[in-house]
Amino acid sequence: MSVVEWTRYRLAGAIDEPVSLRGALRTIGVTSLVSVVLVGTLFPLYWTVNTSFKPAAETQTFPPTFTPETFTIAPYIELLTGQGSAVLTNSVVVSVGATVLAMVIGVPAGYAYARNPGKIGGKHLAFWILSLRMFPPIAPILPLFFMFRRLNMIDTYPVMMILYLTFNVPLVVWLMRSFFQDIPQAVEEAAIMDGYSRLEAFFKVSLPLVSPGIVTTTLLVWIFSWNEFQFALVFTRNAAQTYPVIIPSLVGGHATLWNQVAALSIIAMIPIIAISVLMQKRLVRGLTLGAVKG
Amino acid sequence: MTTIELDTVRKAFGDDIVAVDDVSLTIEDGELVVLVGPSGSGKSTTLRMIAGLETPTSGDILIDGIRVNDVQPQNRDIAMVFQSFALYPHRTVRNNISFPLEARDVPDDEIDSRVEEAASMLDIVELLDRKPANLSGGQQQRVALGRALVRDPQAFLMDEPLANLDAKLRKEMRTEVVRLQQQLDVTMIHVTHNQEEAMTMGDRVAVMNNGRVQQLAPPKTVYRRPANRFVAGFIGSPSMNLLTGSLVDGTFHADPGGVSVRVPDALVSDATADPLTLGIRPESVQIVDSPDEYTFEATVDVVELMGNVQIVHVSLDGTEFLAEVGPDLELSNGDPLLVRLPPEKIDLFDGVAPESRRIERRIEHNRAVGDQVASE
Repeated sequence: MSVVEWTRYRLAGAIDEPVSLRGALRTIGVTSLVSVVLVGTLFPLYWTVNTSFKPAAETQTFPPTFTPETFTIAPYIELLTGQGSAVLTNSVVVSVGATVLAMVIGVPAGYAYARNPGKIGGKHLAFWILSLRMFPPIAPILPLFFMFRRLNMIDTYPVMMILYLTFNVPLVVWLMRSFFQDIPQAVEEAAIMDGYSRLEAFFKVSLPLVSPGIVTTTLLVWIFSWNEFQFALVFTRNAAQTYPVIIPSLVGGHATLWNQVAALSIIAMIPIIAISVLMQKRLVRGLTLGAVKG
Repeated sequence: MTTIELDTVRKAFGDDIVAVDDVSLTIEDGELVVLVGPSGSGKSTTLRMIAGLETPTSGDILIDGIRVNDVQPQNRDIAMVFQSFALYPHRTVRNNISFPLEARDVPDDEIDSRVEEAASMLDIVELLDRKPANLSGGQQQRVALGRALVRDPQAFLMDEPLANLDAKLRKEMRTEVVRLQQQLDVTMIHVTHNQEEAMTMGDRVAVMNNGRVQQLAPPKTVYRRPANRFVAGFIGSPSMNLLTGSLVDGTFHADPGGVSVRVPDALVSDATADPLTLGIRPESVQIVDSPDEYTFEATVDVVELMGNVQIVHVSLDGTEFLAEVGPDLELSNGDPLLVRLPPEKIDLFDGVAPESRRIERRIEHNRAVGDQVASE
């Protein structure tokens, strides 16, 4: 029995009616394509998990082993007892701090832009804010480095949080602006007529209504801050060093601790995956909010 | 006691857009005044200035004689119902209605009883625990009304609240709103672009156009004695026939159209403009057999049977002219007609612009408003 015939037979069984040759071929084509994409996407992840549970010696063997011959959690323990726990703590502090700061600044700004189009900073301020996100981060790194060195702020938490604002605030302002634009002004006016001040109307009505948008934006901003490498490499030495920076430091001249690199990558991935899964419902609502007007 | 007064209130957006142009109005305590006009006439802006959502460029707004220009909307104690209903989607019906009470720190048990009371008044008790998204348009409308009346405000402002409802529901809610207004004996300003709604709801109707109040009067007066050509054309369905032409020796010659009819002397003596406008309501137009000085010849264009009446469209060289006749008259397209404009029903407007004033008859009381309407 050929593959095509087998597919026709199985499909017909599944949907309880005969399946054309064309339908069977299409199913085979789609399934093959999805399989290739899936393998291409998941194989690196699988390989990272695989490597993270191997002793250092086994990571370099040829032919490579597709499951750890000697299963060990030593890479995780070595990493977390070594510099790993410190950099992960730094990453948490810097990314959470940068995210909170960006949201506190960006959400009200986005609201202001949504409610007073064209009135804040004339025509150009809005574009200027957006343009901050367009230029390559490497461009301002040197002047910023000298500025912050003069201020004695290199390798501190605040400098990292401030630097991440440059990229995060524009994103927050533009995303939140469109989320707020989707909330009819009449709803806020209704709250004002109901006896609330403009500020109370904002907190009691507008903010709860954009909460899916806030969740999505927060997550995007946090993921950027969590994974950022370039600024962290230049502006941190030790005290404020975040996890992306020490991955290359594990790649040494004599020996590369591939298993620890893999273990750190896995640890760094866990919070992102966990939060995305937990927030999935709100995240999807946030991402599609405004796409379809109700 | 709540009177609302507007004293030469003006609202300009930017340098050249004047939305409301020196409007002066007084709305008495317990009165239902309808602001009606085409879109862009300034009626909504006027309402929003009373609410406090817009600030007048000049002029004063007084509530109970106190100037409120600088009073924040939340402190004016006025409830507003919006065209979009503007319910809070994240709150249940109960919490939507209780929202204004929460702002006033009303104790919880009192909130509960007042919400129940408002809900039963509007017949929405069984909806209290639903979210607005799960309600029909009419139900949302009731919730919006409940939210407005639960706090016992000084006045109600209604910004086209019936516009989003279908025709049948709109008529029901129209009655319901009037019933509530009378039951609560509260001052209400209702904005609509629908002249029929204005006529059926208002104690008085303020017809607006181009940012100005064209006429403020009871519905019957607005209908029977429109202040100017705009009001005459806007109020009434089908609308009043308006013919442009000139007066020569007491006879009106329409241009174009070949219509020549005699106009009562009581009107002619006060006419100053040339050209001017002759107006007559379709239901006043007569179809007759023998000519006199008030008749002209025409041809039937289209006949619409509306059930109890027929609307006859008459072709007058491009000018729309309608006659409303009984259902029994047999007419078909192309039939010749003798149309009579009864002199006692003719109106003259002194000019052809929308603001051209209606010429008052010297003996106006002969067509006293009440008699006319009662006899129909």
